Amino acid sequence: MSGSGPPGWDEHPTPLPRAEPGRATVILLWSLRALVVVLSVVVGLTFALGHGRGGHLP
Amino acid sequence: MTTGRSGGAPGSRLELDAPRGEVPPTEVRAADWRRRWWVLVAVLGPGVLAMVGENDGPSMISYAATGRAYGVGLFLPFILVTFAVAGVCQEMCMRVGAVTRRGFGELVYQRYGRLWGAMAAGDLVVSNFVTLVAEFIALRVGLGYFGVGAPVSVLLGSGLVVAGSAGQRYRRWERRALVLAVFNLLFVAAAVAAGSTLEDLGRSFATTSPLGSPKGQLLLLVASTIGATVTPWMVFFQQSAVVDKGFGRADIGRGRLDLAIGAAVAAVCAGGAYLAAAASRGGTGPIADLVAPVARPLFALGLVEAGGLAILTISASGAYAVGECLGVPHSFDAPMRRARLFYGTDLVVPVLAGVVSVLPGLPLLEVVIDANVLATVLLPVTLVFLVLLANDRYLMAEAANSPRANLLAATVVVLVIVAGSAAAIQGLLSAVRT
Repeated sequence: MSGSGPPGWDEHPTPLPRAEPGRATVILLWSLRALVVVLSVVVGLTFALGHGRGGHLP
Repeated sequence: MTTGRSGGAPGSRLELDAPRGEVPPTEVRAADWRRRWWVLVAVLGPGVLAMVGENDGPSMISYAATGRAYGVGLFLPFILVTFAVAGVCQEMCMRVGAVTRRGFGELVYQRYGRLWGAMAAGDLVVSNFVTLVAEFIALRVGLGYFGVGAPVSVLLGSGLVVAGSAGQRYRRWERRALVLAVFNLLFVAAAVAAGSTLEDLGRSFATTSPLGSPKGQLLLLVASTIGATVTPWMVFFQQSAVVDKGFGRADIGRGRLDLAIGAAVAAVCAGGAYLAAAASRGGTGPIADLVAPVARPLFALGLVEAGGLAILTISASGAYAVGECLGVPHSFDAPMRRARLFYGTDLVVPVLAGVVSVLPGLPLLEVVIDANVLATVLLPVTLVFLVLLANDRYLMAEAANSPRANLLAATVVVLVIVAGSAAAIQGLLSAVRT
């Protein structure tokens, strides 16, 4: 689409340097990760316990 | 461009009236419109596929179930808000992909390390698998209306993935998926057939109010609706597809147009599913009874399309992510013998999901509901990474997020976290009570 053309599927772009997120970002990411794990377990438990709660499909 | 008539009465044969060598204005206008039409068609792609692809089987069933339960007046305007929310997220994906020319998984992996890259890919694998099972269920329900058995629907869904990638060109894959996406409009036809009128639509906006709805159910429906419009696979898919299509920095405007068209079409079709059921309130029982008998064939066909397109796009998002994180070829332009892992993931994961979907005793409706809630629950980390990448000056330079875009993105992240948490807890409480 654009003038410079896309990289081909077999081209290997240069690896990027690692970002250095601040302490607040790291804390936010780990807190969200913990929340996601807990909530995923909750959804799993709901699925295991809650058969028949929503009607049925043919 | 030639303008104005060259003489002759209105309606006369302009070819004869035009001076030699001059193209008649009607032909010029027709050619101009044809050119504009093809430019528009060329713009359509990842944005439309992400947005309409998210009008998938579980989403349409969720919209219809909400419409049947609450009627017009509550959720239809909310559906439009959620598509605006999805637009904010997908615009960032498209912009990051166009500027960096790398997929989401690759960027997280390289900028934030293997651990975060693996966890982002892990979230995608889990939510994709559960959602794919739900897509096969939708396909099975839709085809089941016409008497097609469950095993055949698994074969058809898997065959769709093979047919999609058989061209070994991204453009061909995209064109086939776009053709399928057109049939999402069947939900609008179902709404019309069910007797929905423009008056219903107007009343819906005039009387919308969340007050008076049972609070627990409302939270579940809010989260389910958000989960029906913004999901982890959309983030991975759109960014990777933008790269595969060859978008660059200069194509950001076209990408936005693609997204805007996709969001508008998807919102109209989602509203169609909602209205089709809202106009048929009072029915109970199996999913086919969500809508009035006259609209059922259209709704069932719509479910076939919704499940089929989502199987294509969700499988592609997983294949892109695996290729990006493992550093192996990951493009629909690659020959199969050079990208075995990419094409293998694209096919094997949906086949496994299809097999799970026909296991005896699987609670189908629970899978459909929980797939949406799980997508909402798994989304926050993906969204935070997306915002971080869109603000990464090293990658994005002047194309990084503006303060206004960051405010919108932060609002979306908070909304998703609150809705996902509330829905997960509410779901567990109601499951314990039953």
